[in-house]
Amino acid sequence: MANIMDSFLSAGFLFIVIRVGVPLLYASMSAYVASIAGIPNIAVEGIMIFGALFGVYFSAITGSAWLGLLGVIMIGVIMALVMAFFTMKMNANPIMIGIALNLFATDFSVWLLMLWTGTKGTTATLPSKVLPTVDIPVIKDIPVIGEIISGHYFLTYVCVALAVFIYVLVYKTPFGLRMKACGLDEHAAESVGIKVNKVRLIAIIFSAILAALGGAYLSMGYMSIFSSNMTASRGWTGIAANAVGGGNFLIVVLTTVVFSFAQGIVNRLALTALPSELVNIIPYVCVMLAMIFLSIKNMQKEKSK
Amino acid sequence: MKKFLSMLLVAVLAFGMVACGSNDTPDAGNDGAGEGSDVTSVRILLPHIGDQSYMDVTANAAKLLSEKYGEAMDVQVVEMGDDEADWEPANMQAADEGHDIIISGNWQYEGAMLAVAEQYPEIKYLNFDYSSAEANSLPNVYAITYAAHEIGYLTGVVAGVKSQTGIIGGVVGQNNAGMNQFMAGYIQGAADANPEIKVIITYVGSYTDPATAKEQTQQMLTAGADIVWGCAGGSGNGVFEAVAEARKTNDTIWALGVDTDQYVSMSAQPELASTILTSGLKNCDIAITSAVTAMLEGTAPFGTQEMLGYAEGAVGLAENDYYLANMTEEELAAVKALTDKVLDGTTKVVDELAEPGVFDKYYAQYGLK
Repeated sequence: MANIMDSFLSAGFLFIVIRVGVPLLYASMSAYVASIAGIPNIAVEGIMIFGALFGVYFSAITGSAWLGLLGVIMIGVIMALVMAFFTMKMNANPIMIGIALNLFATDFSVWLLMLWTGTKGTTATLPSKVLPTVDIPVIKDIPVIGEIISGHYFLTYVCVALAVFIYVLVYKTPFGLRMKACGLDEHAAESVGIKVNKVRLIAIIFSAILAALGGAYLSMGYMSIFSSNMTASRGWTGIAANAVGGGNFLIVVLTTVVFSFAQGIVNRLALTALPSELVNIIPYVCVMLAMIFLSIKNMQKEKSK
Repeated sequence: MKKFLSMLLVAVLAFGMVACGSNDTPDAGNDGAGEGSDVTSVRILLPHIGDQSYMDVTANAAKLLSEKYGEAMDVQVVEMGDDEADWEPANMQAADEGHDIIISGNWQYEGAMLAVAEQYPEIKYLNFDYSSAEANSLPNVYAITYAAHEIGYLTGVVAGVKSQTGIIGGVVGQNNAGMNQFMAGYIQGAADANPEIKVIITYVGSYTDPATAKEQTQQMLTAGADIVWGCAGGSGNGVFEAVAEARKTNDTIWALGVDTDQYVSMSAQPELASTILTSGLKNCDIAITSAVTAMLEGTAPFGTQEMLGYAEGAVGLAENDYYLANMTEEELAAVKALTDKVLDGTTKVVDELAEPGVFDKYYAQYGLK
């Protein structure tokens, strides 16, 4: 038991936490960007599946991982436009559209898999490409820190850059203010001349691209093939993290980090004699605890008003 | 807008009808075979084919049977669809068409087959992978299953012989008796090959989460394991991914596959395929072919259930060229010496289903502390 405790404090463990945390952070950023603009995106999981599948497919037919990545962004934009069309043009309930897209993506991806590969399990028969891992010069030679932050997948660094970008966008730019205004009260926003639909459209497109990249991370780096339903509820975990954050981006990121640690701990404990069912629920217990914490906080806020 | 909606509606309806149409006519060209004809009419009912694994191996029985019997047998595979509600009607339709032998079964959809089999006592049924012995005791049903524990044993022997560190791993889909049946055999086989062996077993908790399987495999490799058996459906691909990465610096690390020869099914991804030393096989096609032969010759024990194992050729190891090229003469001889004992019955492989708790006993003894 003591050496397990030691292993949690090692540089290798933090490396693993980053590795398992990136898809979760993509998912929670995706949920965050859409929700602060007032269109909750619960299709994160479905878009991730499509991102994962199309990245593999495009990289296989073009022979280039980078063109595959372009395909991932494209499919994200297409999914966003579908969502925007139904929610903004047809005034459909965004939750219903989200559910529909999730169900659609789960089954349609298997159908496409069947069409392209003749199998329902994996894209193992497609000669797909993966995005490279990146060794950061200089930093990789620093002990401990180099071990933790160098040598990750390309999309890991993109993820961090996007997180910084979102923070600046939302908190430091006029556009970010407009996004929040649309989320808080669209009529008030409209009355001061903000084009609500335009702001929301941009937010949804951004959100869907984030989710698609999260999927591509799984199938074009972490794994080198797509395997049906490989997102395994990571999109939902992201949505939960966003709910805990309640509009505060730093709390969203912090919550995601907690979930990532929980997942890293689960993977480490899987090797011990502890019952696997018990170990596997750790991240979900974290989600529950976070939700309870959130509602207590809200109740206190209500009381103090 | 209205026009768009009505067009959409028409499109949806048309699509729906096409979809149903193709579903309901699995056998429109039923060429009058069946009763009174010289041709034996056989139908294999499966939910779907194309998984490059279990279903496809089972469907391959159709090919083997028509090769064996040629014109004398009319054998076709019928896809029932994945919707559970369609299975009984599909069975009913097949029975109404009056075939001689209907092959279906498996724990998931044997219920649909047995419900219909009871109403058609003149049709002979083969349950190709039964789960409930009680339900399968109808006088017109012959039920077979595969010795999963022997698959585990054979794979374990290879792992035990090949491991240089003396530590091997098993990445399993779910923690249940069916999966632990594989694993108890795996540990027993490995321990017979190397009494000092240490085993690490992890449960992914899902058959479709290769990312978690990859993490668990990496943890095992860090702990010193050099052979890891992926026994987790789609999640198993994560094992190959982790081993492929590790093999860049150390090519004595190997993965093992399950059910089908995964070296062959992964061949388009050479980097992943090259990790797979061998696979534990479930030869559903061979087992079905010999069961049908027994049914035609009148030797099949209807109303009873049979477990087919290594001795019957129903389970085995994928002894492909890649395997033979990467095993030394001594290693092959050591594997053969142990597996031959299963063939002649000297070694009795433990069966978690027949003897619950035996997995825990073995894991307590050989698990890595």
